Amino acid sequence: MKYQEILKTAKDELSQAPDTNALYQVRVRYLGKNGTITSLMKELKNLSPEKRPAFGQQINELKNAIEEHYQNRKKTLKKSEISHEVSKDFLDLSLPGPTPKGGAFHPIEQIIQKTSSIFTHLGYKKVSGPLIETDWYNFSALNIPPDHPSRDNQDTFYLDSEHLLRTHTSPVQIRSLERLKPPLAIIAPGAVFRRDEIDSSHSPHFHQMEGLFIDRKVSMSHLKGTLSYFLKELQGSSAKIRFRPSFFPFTEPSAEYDSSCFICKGKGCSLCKGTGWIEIGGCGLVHPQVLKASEVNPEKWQGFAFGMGMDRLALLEYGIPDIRLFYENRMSFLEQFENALFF
Amino acid sequence: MLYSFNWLNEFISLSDLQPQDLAQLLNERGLEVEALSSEKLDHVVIGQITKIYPHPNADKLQICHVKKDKDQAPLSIVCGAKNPKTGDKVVLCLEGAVLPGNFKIQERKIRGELSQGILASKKELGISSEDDGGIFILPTSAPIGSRLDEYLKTNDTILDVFIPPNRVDLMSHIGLARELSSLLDKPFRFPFEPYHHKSNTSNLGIPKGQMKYSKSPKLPFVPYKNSFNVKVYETDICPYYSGQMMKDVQIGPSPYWLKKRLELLGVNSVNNIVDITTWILLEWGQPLHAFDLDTLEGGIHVKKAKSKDQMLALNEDQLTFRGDELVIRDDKKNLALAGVIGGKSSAISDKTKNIFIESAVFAPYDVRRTARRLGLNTASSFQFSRGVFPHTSMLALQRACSLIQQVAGGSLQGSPYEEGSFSFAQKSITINQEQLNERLGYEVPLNEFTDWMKKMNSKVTKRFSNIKVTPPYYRKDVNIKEDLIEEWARLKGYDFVPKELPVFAPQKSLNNKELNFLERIKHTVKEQGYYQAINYSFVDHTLHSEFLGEKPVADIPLGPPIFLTNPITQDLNSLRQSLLPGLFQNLLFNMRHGEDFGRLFEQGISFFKTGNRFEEKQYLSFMVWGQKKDIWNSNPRPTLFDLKSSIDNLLTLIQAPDWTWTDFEGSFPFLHTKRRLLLKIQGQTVGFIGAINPMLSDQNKIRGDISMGELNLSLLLNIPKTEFKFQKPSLLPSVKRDISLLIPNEQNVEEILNFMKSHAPAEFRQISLVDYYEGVQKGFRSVSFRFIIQGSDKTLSEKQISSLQQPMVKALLKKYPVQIR
Ligand SMILES: [Zn+2]
Repeated sequence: MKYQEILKTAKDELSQAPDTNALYQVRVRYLGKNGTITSLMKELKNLSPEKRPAFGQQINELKNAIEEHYQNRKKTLKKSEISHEVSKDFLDLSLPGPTPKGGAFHPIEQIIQKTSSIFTHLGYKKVSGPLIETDWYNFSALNIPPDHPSRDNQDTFYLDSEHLLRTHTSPVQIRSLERLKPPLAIIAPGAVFRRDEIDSSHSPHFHQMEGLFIDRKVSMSHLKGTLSYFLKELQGSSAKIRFRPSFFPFTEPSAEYDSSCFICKGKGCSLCKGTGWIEIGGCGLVHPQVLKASEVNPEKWQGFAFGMGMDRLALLEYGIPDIRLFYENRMSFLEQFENALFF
Repeated sequence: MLYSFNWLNEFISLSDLQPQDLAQLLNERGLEVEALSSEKLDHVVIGQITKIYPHPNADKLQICHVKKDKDQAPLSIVCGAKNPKTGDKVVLCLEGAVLPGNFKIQERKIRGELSQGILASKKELGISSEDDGGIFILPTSAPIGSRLDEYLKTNDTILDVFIPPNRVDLMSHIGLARELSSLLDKPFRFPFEPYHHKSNTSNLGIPKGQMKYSKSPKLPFVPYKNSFNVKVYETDICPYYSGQMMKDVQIGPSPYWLKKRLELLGVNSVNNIVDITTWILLEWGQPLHAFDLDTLEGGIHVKKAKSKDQMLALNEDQLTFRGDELVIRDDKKNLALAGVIGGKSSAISDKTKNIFIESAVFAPYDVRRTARRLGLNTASSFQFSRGVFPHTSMLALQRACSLIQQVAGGSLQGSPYEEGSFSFAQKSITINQEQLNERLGYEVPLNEFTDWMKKMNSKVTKRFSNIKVTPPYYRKDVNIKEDLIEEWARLKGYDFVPKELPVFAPQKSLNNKELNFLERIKHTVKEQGYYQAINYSFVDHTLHSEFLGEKPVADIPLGPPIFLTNPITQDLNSLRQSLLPGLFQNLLFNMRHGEDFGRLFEQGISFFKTGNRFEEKQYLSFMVWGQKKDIWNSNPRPTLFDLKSSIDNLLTLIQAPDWTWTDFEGSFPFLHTKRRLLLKIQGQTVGFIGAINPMLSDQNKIRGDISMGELNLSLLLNIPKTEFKFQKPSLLPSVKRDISLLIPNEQNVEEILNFMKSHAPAEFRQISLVDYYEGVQKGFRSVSFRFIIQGSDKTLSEKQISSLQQPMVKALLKKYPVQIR
């Protein structure tokens, strides 16, 4: 019968089609609008009604068989075509992708964020204060009266007889005490100004961070515990702390606190000048006079305060030799801090 | 402050301590030693000449055999000087010695004869500035083999100690020695025998048992009667005044020991009298002033200056008084500005024969104010500003006279003058065990506490659990119990303080909106590829205002500049009113160093003044230059569009309500007049961006595509944010439709886009620009827009989409001179 012949020829043709394109052409010839199957369907009309169902079924079987062969052959051809394409593929994967956007915080900002986060995790709140301060907040309220000699040490930029650029972040102690009332725990990072000549370790504009903790029965051991925690978070759990007696008008007793050297961890190296210790900042118990100036009763409340230089910490942390590099804002300097060494 | 180890050693025996040990002790007791330097002259010893004979090959030279050790063979030294004789004690400089002026001594042959060093002259040793033509011959008593510096006592170690401003009592060698006497529990050696009955060595505040005295020769004394009078009119500012006349002194250069010690402490020698006043300042912390007695007309008056009165100061400054300065006058003229500087007319000169030495106390505040106002920071004004104790003024005066007699001869003329008084009274402080423990965080041993207080010369009484401490008069820094706690902590050391994290009491909520906002802004900008810059808050006003011009666009007024009254230099003389000039300097610096790509931002304060009120505003500024080339992006865009999109992005991320970029008028000399945009939100100007003015580039010899911009964050902070509303994503498929328009150059594209957005039906979810190019037709740009279309409840047919699009396009063509391509 015709059926077997058609199927055989179709199979042969499908098997011989060299590619999916030719294969498709074969399919169109048999299964397309004007294909063999369609013409067979037309012949159906000429048959007697009794014969039609059987013939119709045959056509259908033929159609399905061709389609099946077509699909199988297509799968095989596609597979080899893709393998062939893949084997011929060329894309130099050594090429870089588009340049990353980049972007980085200034190293001083990074240090501020790092140190702030250590204290905010402890429960301290971050606050800020004005850069233009009054004599009262910058000096008098901090137990530095007009004839106090420590004003000699704080070479101050004045704007007029009353206003000045804050010489430390300590005025934020007074402003916070006034606004918030104890108990409180705050940190206040920010810019400060002193009439220092510019050199490799001095800048008239630099950054500090102030910390203040006020509660009942606060002792030096709380202060030492807090700063020890801070240094361990900053430097790793082997970091040690040392207090040395010192003087600040707004704390009593006062101390300077040192960290075991960032580099040699206490053995002695050029960074710590062989001492094994690095000076970090000043601290102490809040002077009763400071509490009184903020209308807080020193018989009821005590506290501790501490400060540290952000520029200095950044110099130490990154091994930067000269503070002036911070304020030149050169791209090849700033780009190095994309690495976000801290986070 | 600088201290000489040897000098301290004169008052308290330090022979069992190395300078390093002393430094460590001071550091541990809160007196930070900032530097330690030793003054030594190695390989320079005392020798004796055993034989002298002529150099065989040189007429003017001779060879000396010099013994530096009893048992060893003498050394052979070639010498050109004529003065040495056999048996002389001489200064032998051996191989390895380095004399002043970096003169290195080596063994060498001179005209064929070995010289194992040199015999030094006074000039070569720096002892004299003039060459006396011969070598230095020492007294016969000089010990052979000893180091010369030990023999002359010039080997010394200088300690630079940071003295806290409240420890005025330590600002002298005697003061520090007194402290060391307490710390080391060693007797204090009083350096001379006071000659006047009014002076009392107990005025030093050291208990009798701790004091030793050294005998010294009595001074020649001439009885004297004269109408010369001292009168203090301002006893508040001058609570104590003393003085002594001396006659027939011989002004001249100072002896070596005096000169050398002052030099080691950083002071240049002037003449013997002035040098002694300096010596006393360093020894006692008492500034002295010496007047030429013969220039005085009448008595001495301590009173306020006459307004507009003048005085030529020692440093040749012609001073004009305001009237509130304290001066020392005679009957006719001003002699000195009290505590600050002397006058030229009464100064010690080469011809001076008779002198009057003043040893007084002037109030710290007044001296500081006057010195600061006149810019006269002298050693004397510094000491008075910190404080001077009248208790020892008379002792210091007598010590001065005794030393002057030693170096310049002369005799005392009458008794010392003295006016004023002082008190030893000091308030007592009561403290108890509980207070000590509570502040320090550990159990303080009370006996040790009282022992230390006594050692520090305080009086201590104990009643039940209370301890009453009365500090010595010179400890003005110990007033309240916290001071006692600090004193204990300092003496005991802080290593005993345990470490303990405090338990936190709950705090009030502190929603710091501004800080959170600024942090968010900084992070957002950084994430878009910008690098944070930090610049000084002060600027050069001239440059700053030249750069900014008036910079007044409606909502960004500059206001009057804010000057510093005391800038370091003129290039840092006012507060910035914009962060752009600083960033521009950064740009120039970068370009000079070949950085042809930059994305800088700065977030900081700009300063303004309205009336008497200062205002600090938070600004965010950008400096953008160059494009990073890479292989994927062959068509670089103007940097201004980078900046614009960064700010658009920022505004989106902080949920700013609708904003617009508009052209503007106004004098921004740093911006390109055709390439600048103002950023407005709800009608308020919050910032601007623009390309650099080509004139500015030209002036500064820079090239490249540079843009900048600035936002006022203080304004932005207060603009209400758009509220967040969640929308459920549609499940229906979306369709893309593009339309290309020819738009004339005069017509801005944003307006067309905005028109489409406002006229498009709701089904047009997004409208964006997808293609833009020039050069299709002159005067026109070809711009393609893309619509993303999505039905709200059913899939849209092709027909429906066309009918939705049609009215919008018709309206657009009607309103704008654009054509469909
Ligand atoms: Zn180290």
